[in-house]
Amino acid sequence: MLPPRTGAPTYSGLVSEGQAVPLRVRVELAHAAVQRLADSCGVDVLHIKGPAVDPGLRRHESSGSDADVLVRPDGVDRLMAALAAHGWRVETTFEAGSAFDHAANLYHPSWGLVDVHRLYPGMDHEPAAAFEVLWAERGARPLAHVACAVPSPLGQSLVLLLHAARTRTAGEHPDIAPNWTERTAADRDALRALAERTGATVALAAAIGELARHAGTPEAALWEVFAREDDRLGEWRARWRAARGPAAKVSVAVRSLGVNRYYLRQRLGHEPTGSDVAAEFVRRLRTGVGAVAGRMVRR
Amino acid sequence: MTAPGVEVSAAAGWVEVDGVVYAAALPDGPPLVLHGPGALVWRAAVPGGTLTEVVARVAAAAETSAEVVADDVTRFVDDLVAAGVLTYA
Repeated sequence: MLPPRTGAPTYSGLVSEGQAVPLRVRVELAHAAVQRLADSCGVDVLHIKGPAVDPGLRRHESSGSDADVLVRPDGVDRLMAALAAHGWRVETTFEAGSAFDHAANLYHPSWGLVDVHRLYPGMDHEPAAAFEVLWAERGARPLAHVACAVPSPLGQSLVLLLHAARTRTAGEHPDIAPNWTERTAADRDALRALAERTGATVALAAAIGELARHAGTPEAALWEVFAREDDRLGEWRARWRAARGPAAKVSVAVRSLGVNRYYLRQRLGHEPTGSDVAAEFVRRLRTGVGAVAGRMVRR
Repeated sequence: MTAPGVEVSAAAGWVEVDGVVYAAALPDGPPLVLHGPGALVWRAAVPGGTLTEVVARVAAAAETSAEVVADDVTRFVDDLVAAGVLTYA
């Protein structure tokens, strides 16, 4: 039975805006919030990873710490503008986030973090064409009771496998078995075909231990770094080798020293000052120099 | 006078975990945490219907009479409408 009201304007024990919301709930609500904004600005979005994945394709319970969405490339600017207009703050730009330039990370006080992918690592040769392939075969999954578009089950497996390929783990990544090893031969053939159609043949090979078939290519060099333990310099060097043209190579080299303000804030426990950012830049530079020195010693 | 209809707002998103409902007006929020009787009222409102029907569902779930809970449920529904997660049809 309902507790008696005591004159308060609301039931303080029943509704709370300040009460802790579990991370998995925030992530699911973040997916739903982004979908609403995508609908409002007419942008196609595929929800990937975390709660957007069919339960049978995940071997581990974690829903991740942020919501991941893959955006049709020609709608990225519109979605980013809509997000900014609704209180999302950019923590990491596309250029600063990773060696692949693939995702911007944004924070909202109600929903936490979202990764907006303008391309998916491994399917990055022709992002618009890869998105269209995934979109054409999409399914639907309600997230927080909001209809969200998700890749087909095979598309979800490919996304998870490509993510596993660039995630360093002790032993086999837990997403490999349900999405490859335990799939039927027909499913694996279909996954290879889907990888070919999305330009992800080499990245899939990296995920399933067949990278040697592509040895000697710049793209294979990039994925080799993720396939074995290596330092950060190795990641950026491989990315530099894979970059197409002098301008892209210079861009990769400069960004390898960039400071991620969000992660710096997490580490410091407060908003980074200009001095903090400068100190972090120097620290990263020294780390890079240290990695070079380490390689020289090993030679 | 006919009781107004109550339904989940088209803007609402919600998740229920371990008996606690987390509901929000999207895309901005903030999330509301509804537990215990609050979650009960939410579940009674989700199928939609008149306010009288929502009150009756709550009363049945709480194993009491509609008269006992009517005022509280009505005010609580008002609160959820003000928060943007329910609407009066």
